[in-house]
Amino acid sequence: MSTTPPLTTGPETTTLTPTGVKPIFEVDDLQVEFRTNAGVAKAVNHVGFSVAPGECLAIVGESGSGKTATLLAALRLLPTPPSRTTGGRVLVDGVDLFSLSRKELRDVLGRDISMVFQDSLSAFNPILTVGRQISEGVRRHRGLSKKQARALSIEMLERVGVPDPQQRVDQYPHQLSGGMRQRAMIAMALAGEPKVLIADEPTTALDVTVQAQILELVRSFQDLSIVWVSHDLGVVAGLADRVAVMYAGSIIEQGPVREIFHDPRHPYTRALLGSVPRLRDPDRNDLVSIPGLPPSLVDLPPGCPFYARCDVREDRCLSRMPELVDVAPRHQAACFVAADEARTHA
Amino acid sequence: MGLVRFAARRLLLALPTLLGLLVVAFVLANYLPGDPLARLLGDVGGSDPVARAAYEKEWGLDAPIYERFWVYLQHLVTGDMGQSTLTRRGVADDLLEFFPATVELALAAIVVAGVLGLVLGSVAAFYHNKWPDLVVRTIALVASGVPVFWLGIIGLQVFYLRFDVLPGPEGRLGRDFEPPTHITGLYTFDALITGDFGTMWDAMRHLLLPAFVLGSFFLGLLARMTRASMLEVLRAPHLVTARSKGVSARTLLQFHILPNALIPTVTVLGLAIGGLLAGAVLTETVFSWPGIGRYAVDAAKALDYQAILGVTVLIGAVYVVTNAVVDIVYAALDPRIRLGE
Ligand SMILES: Nc1ncnc2c1ncn2[C@@H]1O[C@H](COP(=O)(O)OP(=O)(O)OP(=O)(O)O)[C@@H](O)[C@H]1O
Ligand SMILES: [Mg+2]
Repeated sequence: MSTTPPLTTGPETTTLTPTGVKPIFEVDDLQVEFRTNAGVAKAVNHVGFSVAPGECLAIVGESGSGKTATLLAALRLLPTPPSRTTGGRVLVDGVDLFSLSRKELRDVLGRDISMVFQDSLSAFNPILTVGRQISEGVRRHRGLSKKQARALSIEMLERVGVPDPQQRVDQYPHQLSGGMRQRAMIAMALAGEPKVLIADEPTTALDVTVQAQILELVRSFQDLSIVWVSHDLGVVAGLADRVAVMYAGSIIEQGPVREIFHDPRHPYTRALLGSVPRLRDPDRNDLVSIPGLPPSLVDLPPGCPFYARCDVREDRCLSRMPELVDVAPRHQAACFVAADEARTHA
Repeated sequence: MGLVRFAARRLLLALPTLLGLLVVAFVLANYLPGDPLARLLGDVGGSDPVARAAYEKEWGLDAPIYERFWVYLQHLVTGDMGQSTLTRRGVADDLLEFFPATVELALAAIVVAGVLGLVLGSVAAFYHNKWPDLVVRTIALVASGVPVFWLGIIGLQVFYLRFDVLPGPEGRLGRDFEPPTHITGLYTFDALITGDFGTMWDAMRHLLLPAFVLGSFFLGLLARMTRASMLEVLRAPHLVTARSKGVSARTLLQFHILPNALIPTVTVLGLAIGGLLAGAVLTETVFSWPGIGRYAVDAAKALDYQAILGVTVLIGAVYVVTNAVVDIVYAALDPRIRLGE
């Protein structure tokens, strides 16, 4: 809004978000590998982003681009093996998650930051009641009694708009409809009143009307900082403040939502958006498929991973991976061609 | 409540199965070769037409098979399973005498197989692809691959003949011990109740090797099942959810890992009970164990058809009932079964 935002490093080690506010959630230079039979797959490569208090950052990208791996690794929830987090730093409200003991980590998860998953049926434990699972984390964090925990679960179910919370609280996950279950999972994630909510494609499995209700619900929590992973550009446009686009384990473009949609700079983002004529058309909202396949993560080429599918590629793109550079205020892209364009226009 | 209704329905469903079992057992026994009457009544009585006629009349032996079945059923509900030609006693009395020995052996085998199988399987899963996993997988393979007969003989060779740390094949108690007061017929239990710890210890020593031998197959099976279901649970998405809430390591294990992993193994345990009764025949022979298995072998050799029928009915009934109980336990553990999918 105002003049050029300060992009300098603050007095602490924490950098400032593009809007100049101290971020509540920050991922820096994250690297994750998976050991597979074919070799070591570099699923997340130098990924960094930050989220300001109350901000919603959307992460979009094709299947397999490393969105889930990034977020799970950031919260140290990826199983090791087969995964290994080989570098990076993650700060939640200034606390470095990677320097915490397991026990200290448990004090942060579910209390300062929590997560909502795509498949609500498999994300719940099938043999415990919904109510138990909603308050189970908070019970430990706040030392609640059984009775208090149950009351909290009912209250949370009510807040996310589940009818008959008194009955639902004692039911099992399979007894709830998909939409109800997703609401219950949001209740579970918000039970500890976290500052940051990470949502990994939370509406993909739901039909359109239910999707809209869930979005409305999430929007109603205004102070919450959100990282929202989605395939659905329509949802992203309506919800996010900023968008980060991932490709083959790297963020290749990020910026304010309007800029990403109306002035995309990276050829991959452009291709993604290329055939989304009307963002509100529910049938056309998914990411389009671009000819060709992303490169194998097992032996990533040294250059730009999008090279093989790119229509503005040049020889220099093969030499090294382009870094994210500013192409507009608060808007970065990792593309030599886009960077040159931005310079000539400036 | 869901569970009570489920249990009632499941037990009701067991009744037709039991009846079917009776029919099949009865028809099969009916086609056994030989002249049971001659055996039952002895050389003199068997050739005495009056004695034959009296017996035939009581059991309706001259009538068509469905009428005889009806007579058998009427006797059965009063606890009368006919006479054994071998022991010359009521089959029901024989079964009452021999069955507790088998029950004790099978229970001990289940405890051995259950505890070791679950522990070994869990250890293997937690150390997936490391050396403990390899050790457990080898044990499991050997344990469920080796024939009971052979394992029994090897066990006796090593622990009795070579090192003499366990008693030989002399049945349930050493020569110096008297069976404890009959309460349940399970010597260890009865001795414990009556405070006869010397006898209890001796009974346990006699039980150990046969229980191992009999349980070995299911030990292997359970270890592999537990390992597989544990590995599946350790990869399950709901565990990530639980960890994302910051629950304690104990909660994780106690509520999100163990119960989920153990549900499938309950089914195997149910199967084990039927399998153990079948395996008891061999084990009891090797260890001179005075149980139902040995009784069945003797009865079969003597073509003692009432006894064979009695054993079949008893084992079949145990099988049907335990299956029902396992289903009920399964439903108690898993709300998806109890409340319908
Ligand atoms: N457990 C695993 N073992 C091996 N490779 C894995 C594992 N989990 C993920 N990967 C690999 O890491 C890469 C990134 O996967 P990730 O699940 O993060 O993708 P995503 O962007 O979330 O995709 P989607 O949109 O389908 O959820 C993929 O190439 C995937 O094959
Ligand atoms: Mg994903």
